[in-house]
Amino acid sequence: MGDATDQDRFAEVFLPHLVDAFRLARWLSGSRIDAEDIVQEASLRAFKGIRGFSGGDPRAWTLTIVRNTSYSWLAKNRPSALVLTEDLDQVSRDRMDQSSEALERTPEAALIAKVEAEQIRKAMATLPVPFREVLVLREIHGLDYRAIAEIAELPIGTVMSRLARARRKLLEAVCGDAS
Amino acid sequence: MPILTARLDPLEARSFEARLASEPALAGEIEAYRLLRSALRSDLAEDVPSPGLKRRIMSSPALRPPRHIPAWGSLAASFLAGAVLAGSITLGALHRQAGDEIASEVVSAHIRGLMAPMPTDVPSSDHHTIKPWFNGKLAFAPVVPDLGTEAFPWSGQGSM
Repeated sequence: MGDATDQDRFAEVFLPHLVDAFRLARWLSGSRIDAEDIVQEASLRAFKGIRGFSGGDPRAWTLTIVRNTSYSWLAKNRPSALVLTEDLDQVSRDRMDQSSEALERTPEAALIAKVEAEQIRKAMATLPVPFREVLVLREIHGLDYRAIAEIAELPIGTVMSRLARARRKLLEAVCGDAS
Repeated sequence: MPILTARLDPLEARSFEARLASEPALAGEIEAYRLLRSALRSDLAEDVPSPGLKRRIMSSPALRPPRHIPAWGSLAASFLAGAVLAGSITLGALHRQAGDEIASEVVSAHIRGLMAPMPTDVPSSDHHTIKPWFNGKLAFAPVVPDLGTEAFPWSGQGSM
């Protein structure tokens, strides 16, 4: 790879994952148009830092940059979406967990025959971004816990527990919308 | 549920399946999450960027190789190089031995030629006058040694 220019490296490492990059940005920002802006900004960051890519998984490297760029965009444009329940006090957290426990006791009651794309989009929009993040990386990108931990900069244990909570919250949001 | 237990070892898989049999609620929960997953993936085909995105990225100015220096820049650079060269030759000429007469005369004449379009000659009494005379003619203020004490009295025309 000695003779490769930065442009060559960029085309090899970042460009093949444009669709994955877009999908992550789209679910985190909630908007396809904003997602394209985010990916374009991420591409500049990726190009500037391309020599810092020293092998390893190019998809994970790309998605990490897109994830961080998305967070920067959200901090500027939708800061309230970034609030996570872990930041709340214990009382508030207990109250939220109680409501989800009630749901778990009768999941059949909450079952709907089919969940439409529009329903899931609206439900995802109600979730704080850190929950959306692990769901998208797992369910849409099909990444394993280790890759998610690397991209989201979390311990693996947190990835697993956050994924479990995120699924519960998404189910609540979908069922809440349907009832 | 073989798909769910694919990543578990046989012992874990068996205990999970046992739990599943005894807790019907768990099966319902799993089914619900499957629905969520398929819903998230339901519009994957449309979940793609517009063709414009790749085009915009590829045509971004930040990704282009460095521009060529424009022609006027090279011209100014060569003027500057010429001026520095003239200054160096002047300094070199000042230190020539008296015996190297022909060479130094050629050099002096050459320098005089380069400096030909001078608006006025400045009567030179000492190096304090000589040095600022170079302002605007060279890119640097040359060190003008006072050679009056040596064998070179000032000629009064700013050139030696």
